[in-house]
Amino acid sequence: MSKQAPNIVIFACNWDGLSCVEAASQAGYCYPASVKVVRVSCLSRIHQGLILKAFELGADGVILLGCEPGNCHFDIDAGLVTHEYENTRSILNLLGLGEERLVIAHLAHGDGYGFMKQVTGFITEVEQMQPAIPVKA
Amino acid sequence: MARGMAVIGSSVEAAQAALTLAELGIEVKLLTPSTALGLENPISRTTDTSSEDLSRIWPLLLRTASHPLVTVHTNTEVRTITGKQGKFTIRANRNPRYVHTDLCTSCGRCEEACSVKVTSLLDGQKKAHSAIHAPIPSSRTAPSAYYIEKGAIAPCRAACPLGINVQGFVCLLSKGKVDEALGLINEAAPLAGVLGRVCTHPCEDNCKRGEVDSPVFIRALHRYVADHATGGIDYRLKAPAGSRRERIAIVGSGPAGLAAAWELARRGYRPTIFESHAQVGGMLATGIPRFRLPWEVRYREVEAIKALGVDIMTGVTVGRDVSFYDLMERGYRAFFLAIGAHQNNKLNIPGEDLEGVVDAVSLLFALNIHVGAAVGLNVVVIGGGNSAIDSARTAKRRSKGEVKILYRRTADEMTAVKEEVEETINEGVSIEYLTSPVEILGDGRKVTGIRCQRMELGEIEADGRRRPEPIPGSEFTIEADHVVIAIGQRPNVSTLNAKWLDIDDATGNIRADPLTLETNVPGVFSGGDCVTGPNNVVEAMAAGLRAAESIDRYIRRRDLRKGRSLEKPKPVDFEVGEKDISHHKRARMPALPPYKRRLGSFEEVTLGLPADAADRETGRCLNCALCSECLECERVCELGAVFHKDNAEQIEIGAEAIIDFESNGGVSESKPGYLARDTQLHLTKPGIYIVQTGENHDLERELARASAIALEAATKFERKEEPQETPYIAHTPGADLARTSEEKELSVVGGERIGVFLCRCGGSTSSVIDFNQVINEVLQVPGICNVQEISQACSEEGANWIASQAAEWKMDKIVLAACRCCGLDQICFSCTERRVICQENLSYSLTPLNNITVEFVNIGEQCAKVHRDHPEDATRKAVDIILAGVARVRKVLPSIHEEHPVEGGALILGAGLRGLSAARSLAIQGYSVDIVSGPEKSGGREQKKSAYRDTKDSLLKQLEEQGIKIRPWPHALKLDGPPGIYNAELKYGSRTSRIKAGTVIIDVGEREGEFPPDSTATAKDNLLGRLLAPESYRRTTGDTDTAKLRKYTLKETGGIFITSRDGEEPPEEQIFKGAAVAARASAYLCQGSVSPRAIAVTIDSKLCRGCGDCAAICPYIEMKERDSGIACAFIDPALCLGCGACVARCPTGAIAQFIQSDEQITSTLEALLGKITCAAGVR
Repeated sequence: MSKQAPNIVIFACNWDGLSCVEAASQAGYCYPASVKVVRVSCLSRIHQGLILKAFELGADGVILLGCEPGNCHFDIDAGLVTHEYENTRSILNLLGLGEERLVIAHLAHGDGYGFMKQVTGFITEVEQMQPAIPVKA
Repeated sequence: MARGMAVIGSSVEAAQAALTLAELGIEVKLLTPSTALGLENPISRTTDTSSEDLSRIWPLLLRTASHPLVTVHTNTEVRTITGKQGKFTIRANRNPRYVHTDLCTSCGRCEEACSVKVTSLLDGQKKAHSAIHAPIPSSRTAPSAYYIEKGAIAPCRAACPLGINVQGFVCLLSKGKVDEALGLINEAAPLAGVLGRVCTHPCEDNCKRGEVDSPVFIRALHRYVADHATGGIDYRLKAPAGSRRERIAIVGSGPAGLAAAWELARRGYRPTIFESHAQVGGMLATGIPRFRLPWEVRYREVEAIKALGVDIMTGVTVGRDVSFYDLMERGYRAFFLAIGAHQNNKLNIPGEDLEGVVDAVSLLFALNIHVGAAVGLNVVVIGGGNSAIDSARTAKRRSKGEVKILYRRTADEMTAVKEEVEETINEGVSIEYLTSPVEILGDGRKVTGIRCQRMELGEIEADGRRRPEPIPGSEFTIEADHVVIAIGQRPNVSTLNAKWLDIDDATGNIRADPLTLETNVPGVFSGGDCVTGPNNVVEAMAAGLRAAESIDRYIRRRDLRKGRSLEKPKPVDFEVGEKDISHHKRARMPALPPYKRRLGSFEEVTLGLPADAADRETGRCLNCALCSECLECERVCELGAVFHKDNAEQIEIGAEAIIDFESNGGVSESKPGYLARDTQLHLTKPGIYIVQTGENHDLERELARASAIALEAATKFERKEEPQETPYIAHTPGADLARTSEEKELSVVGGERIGVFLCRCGGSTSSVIDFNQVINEVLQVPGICNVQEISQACSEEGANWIASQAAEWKMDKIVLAACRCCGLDQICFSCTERRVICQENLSYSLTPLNNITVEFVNIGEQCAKVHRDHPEDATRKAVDIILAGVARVRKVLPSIHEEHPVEGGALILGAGLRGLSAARSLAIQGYSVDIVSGPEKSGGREQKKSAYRDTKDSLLKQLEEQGIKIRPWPHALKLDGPPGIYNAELKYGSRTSRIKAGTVIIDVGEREGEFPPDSTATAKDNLLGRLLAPESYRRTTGDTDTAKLRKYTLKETGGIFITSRDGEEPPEEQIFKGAAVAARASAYLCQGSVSPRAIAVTIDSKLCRGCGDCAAICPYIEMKERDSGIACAFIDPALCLGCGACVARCPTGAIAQFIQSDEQITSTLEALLGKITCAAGVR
């Protein structure tokens, strides 16, 4: 059986995050359909529950895609999101999934190339990991 | 009629000024010479604004372009402005864009079809793109409509006497579109197979590739197209066949006659050609040997011309068998004499009458038509033109002996086509250059030899060639038993029996007007060799086409000359030296090996290029003219948005006042007002504001200046009391549901009739995603009443159609799978013009249907475009994306957001320069203004800065004249909402003042009069104090460049404006920054009411346990004490920006975002991760 491309969930903030996704598309890049983009108003909207839900539903990796520190549309301190991110990573460790399945990317607005680099790099990393065991049977 | 204001300029600042005016309720015409806002020229970004800045203020450009009061005129260059204030007329040139801006949806299909690849320098990087492209290739712009880059026409096309679009057909061929290429050739001329073989190719002689290595082998490609088109010859008619009843006689069926007949037939006539020979084609049949132009090729193409409705009478000599008089009697209204030049010139030397001396025309005729005529063993051809070469090569195929050519000049002067000369030598014919016959020798009856003399080249003659002069004493004799004289021909007009015809005595040519080809007799036209003397096929055909035009005009009694010219179109200026062009070898035409060409073989010598060589050869085209006008883009555009016939036009625009960012100087007279001095704004005459660009380009500063100027202009602008359309409030699920309580009930309870629409985006999504499969799968989902596809959802017709379907199917919820990715009333960085238009049109069309909730999902940029390499995966994902949309639309909660009124004027806190400037701008507009000064400072630090002091004094004086007093700094200051009707409480000792205001401006700073951010007067228990201490809420202070620019990009719902804290700006900059803030505040006040953002949160007090986690991260959330004594979080939705951070931190789920609930995000995840299947339905 051929190995399936890993499911990657990207929580993209509506502002600089999504603008990178759009820019990649406009620049003509292609990425696998197993990369799923979920648009949210801001990364601060995302909490542990939602990230873990993504893993529960079969995500092999999750990227939090947001603005560069200081450029948040809502002026939210990057630390607020990082705090949530660090916490979730430690839970992922506890669950045996491994913290490396969750990454955060702060990209400059409209950076389609940076987005592609992040995505393809992450896919390769996730492919090398053991298959994710669903948290819930 | 002049109405509203005009803004002239291509810069971002011009857009900002236009938006400011529009937000103040003024109709604006934005005239920009470029293709989209913010660009200086079509394909590179403005030099002033970096691409990074441009993308940072992208929503500003989009808001400007899509504002209902702004009309954008792109590609428009202003020529003159006349009139006076209140009644200006702007005359401008609208340059062709070749794409209808209101029809183009930028789906990109044309770009795919375009075969011209151009390299442009974009942001310092070389980027390849098509000739038709978005204003910035592979990037978004506003407007987003495409644009065709056209220079003049390519040199090859300009050189073609027939005007064949050479670059165009080569381009089409490069994409393998052979039939289309033939179609394009046949737009200009018939006889492609003939031209592809025997044309003298002026195109190749002018090919720019020739300056690099060698010209593109255009003739071979022309032939390739003619030989390989599978669709047959399909000449397109310009008018229905037979629609013209007038009879036209064409005398001669050579290239000129055939071309004229072809063109006349295309225009609806049914011309008759009279041909004296049995064979049709003139010199094509009798002159050009079959091994160069096979008869089948000629037959095929002549038949196609006949099929158009051309009658050809062979064996009829006009003037002998039938007279002109007879023809006129029979109703022929016009004549085209194209009898060619068939009478040979004589050498006028002794011995020309001997047996065995023939002329080239007779020889070629004899050998071509009557196969088997005898040829001698020692053939000598005299001459250096094409007929000499053809005679020699034909004779060689008939003679067992030697064939020799005598030419009095050198190879360079030969008028024959070079390739043919080479082939002639290949075939074993020898050429004696610089040799001229003196006498033809004979035995009294038959020719035996020629006495010749050697020549040398002397002075340059009138025709540019050097005159051959005999070398004395160089005479010698050569043997010959067959002499062919091929030194040119003249027309044989005597057969016409037309004494009334004006003939040039010296040449024997018919005299005709060079432009119209009319002879001395009206209605009789003449062209081709009989007018010019022996020439080539392509020139003769060109004459035929010109004659057809004249005849058509003659019959329609139109001016024969009007709008016509013999001047060749000017080709594009293309400097080969400036380009980086790699060398590629020109294709070689495969030919029969010489041994196969001997004795009796009339097989075609050249074999035509094989497919791979032709393909490589097309790749050598440099596309000098950019767009090749192959018209493929017009063909693929489903919306008819592309039109190559777009012409420059003059337009007139009325305006009551004008802000001009474009002329940049050239100001003859300036009347400095306060803004004029401070902002380099010049008033040349009342009502015209000329803005000069600042030297240090700081985008935020320029934007502030633009809004200040716009506000200044708006203030002077006399607003008419006529009812204006209120700016359209975008439809959102939340806002829609907010209408009435009954409607709310309906939409929530009403339930399960969801309609799904799939946008084909002009074919760009449907070419990747299998729409049938998606429709079949999604139809299985319970509750879905229909799944339909639509060509362009963003068009008005598309929106109307969706609405009609929604009504017909009684849908209560719609999922539109197109390019828009949310239903929010915001314009974010990812948005595009089409997405905004899509939402606007749809909500407009759906308004009469009331309570339909729409969820948008993106199957374009987020699916079809990025997964185009795996169509099956893209189809699967499109289903998932739609299922996610269905799941979300089901879970949209009814919004309880209410509209706030906006009442009263402005409260200005802080009396620095910015605050005072804002106050003055608002006061001039007639708003009530209250100013509260910051605390007094001890010490005279400010006194020293005289510029600052002077400006401040002058402002204070102006405010005093307006009757505005400045309140001193209070001991305590409290500000309360709700937004739009703010209430401020100022405590002065025991006395309390209350101020009501629609908007609040805070001039924050440390200077005297400015509002101190860490003031004790503003405690954290009120909104003011919280807003000024963002750090306490895990927020940044918003002083990054991005944050500063954001003010200009987003719509304000809260109505509190805080000036930037750059304390050390020069006074004049502070002035216009204040005015800029005033502009935004005015726009806010102007609305009359304000709706919260659809994404704003609400807090359910029943669920709140008062932990305060939300209030710790959001300055807008306030902890209020309830009667029970337990704290409860409270927010006014109009203040909420909608980040949702509080939602994520609320432990009890008391805080809700109606269109971004945890449930909706989870459903999205489930659908995208394939956990929702169609058959099982959506949970």
